[in-house]
Amino acid sequence: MRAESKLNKKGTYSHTLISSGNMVLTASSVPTPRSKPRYADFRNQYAANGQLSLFDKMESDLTIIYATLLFPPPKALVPAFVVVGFPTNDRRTYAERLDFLAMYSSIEESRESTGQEFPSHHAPVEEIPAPEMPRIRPRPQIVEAKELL
Amino acid sequence: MKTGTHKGTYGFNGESLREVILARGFTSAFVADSLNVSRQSMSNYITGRNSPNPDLVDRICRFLNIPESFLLKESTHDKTEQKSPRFYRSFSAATKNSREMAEIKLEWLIELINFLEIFIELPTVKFPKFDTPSDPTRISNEFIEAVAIRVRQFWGLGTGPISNFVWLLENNGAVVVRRQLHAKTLDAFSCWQGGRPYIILGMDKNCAVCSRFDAAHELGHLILHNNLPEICVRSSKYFKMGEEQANRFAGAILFPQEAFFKEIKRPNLEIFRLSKRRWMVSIAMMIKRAEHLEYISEDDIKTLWVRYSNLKWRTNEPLDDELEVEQPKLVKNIIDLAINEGLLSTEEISNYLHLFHSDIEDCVGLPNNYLDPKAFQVIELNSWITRHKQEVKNVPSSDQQLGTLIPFQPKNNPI
Repeated sequence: MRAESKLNKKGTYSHTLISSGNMVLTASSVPTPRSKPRYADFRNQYAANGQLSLFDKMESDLTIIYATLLFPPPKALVPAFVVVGFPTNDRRTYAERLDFLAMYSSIEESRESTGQEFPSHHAPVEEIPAPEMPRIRPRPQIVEAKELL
Repeated sequence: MKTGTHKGTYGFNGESLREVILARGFTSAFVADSLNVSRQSMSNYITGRNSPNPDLVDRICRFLNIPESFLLKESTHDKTEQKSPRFYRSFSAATKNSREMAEIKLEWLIELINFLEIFIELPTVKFPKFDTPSDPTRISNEFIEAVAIRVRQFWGLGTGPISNFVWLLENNGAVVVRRQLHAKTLDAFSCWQGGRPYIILGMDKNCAVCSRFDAAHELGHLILHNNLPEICVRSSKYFKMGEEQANRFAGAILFPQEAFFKEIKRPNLEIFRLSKRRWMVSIAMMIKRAEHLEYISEDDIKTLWVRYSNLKWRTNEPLDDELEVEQPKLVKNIIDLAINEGLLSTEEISNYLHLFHSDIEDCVGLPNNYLDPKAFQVIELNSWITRHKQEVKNVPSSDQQLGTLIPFQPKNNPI
């Protein structure tokens, strides 16, 4: 697997391209799992070069298979969705969508319930015991008159 | 106190009548109108100028659901006694009735605790004392942060999350009660009485993190504003300042600065959401904490608040339905011990306070009928059945004594 920063045609902006074999992936932040990333030449190019939705081609004929990793706006430790979408070659829709959080829901559940997202060097929880049962106040001893003498 | 005339009721205490009217959230005019008594007469009964006749005392007691002995007891509250200031969240007219109700029930609670202390040893009060200024304007934010850390150290705590804040207070001698306060803006209140801190938490919101914050806020008042004169508590200028200081203290003791900087590397709503379960504080409190500590720019704070509102978290934050509200245990333990060990019966407690069990349950935050002597009375069904069978057996078998069986006749064949 290879990740590289690629510049656009004008050289004004770069995007990260992840490739593995003939599979290439770019990542985009979108508001909802069904949203499409905004128009960009590089995305159109990747999509147009070869795509599964053509189906008239054999898979082996394709130079690349392009997919987009979709995630919600950043600043989230646990994203609300992680979807890999395979756009059609005209990028009007997705030929296939894989919802990773639905496929691997146990990842998020375990992180939330065990609090594993917090590194172990963080201050431990101060365990407070439940209040103990109070004690009966000792009663003053009754002293016999004889003892006083 | 004036006693009744020959027409009135001997020993009637107008002050007790005023007390119970306030405890019920009524006005004397409302009670007078409801009982078909003139308002002037009611006023005379309350001020002690006159006393009602026994029949009217009976009607008053039934209307206000109070034992007659309550209105005939001598006043136990010493008016000359110096009261420490009560710290309420709101002194608005809207909460006046609720505050008065809460105040009376606090008096009853204190009376009960003082009574139970004769028999039972309560935990020693271990609250640190600080030389806090009597002028709230001289309490700085740095001082509040430092005091919060010193309180944690005094109680042997580090900088981690506190698993149960209410138990922490109780273990250090505070009497904490959770009960209905019947006002949205009256979340909690507290006071010092006889060297012991009392904290009353409202159960109207039923929100775990809000309640924890309320308890920490009240601790802030008890520690920071111990020397505050009553006039400062009531003054609107100082009142707001005092509330902000108590809020800052609550944030500082629940989520200390050191831990906040260590754990919240990049303040955003998602990390706050995840930290909520660990620290048991609201997301709103964490945004406020970031603001207090000037951890991020004002613009970033504004953005966080906008996103917070857009997500509709102002009405219901994530995890609010999941996290359990901390329940006080100390007062229940004391009452259980007194009853189970035979030191006192529920009737003796009721008789001492001259209150029905429902009022005692309410003022100490116990479930309904917890102190009702009849609620859990065991009826031995087996012995009843055996006795009943025995009685049936003892009936002579003579037909005449058992009566004659008359069969029903069909409609078309009348007798």
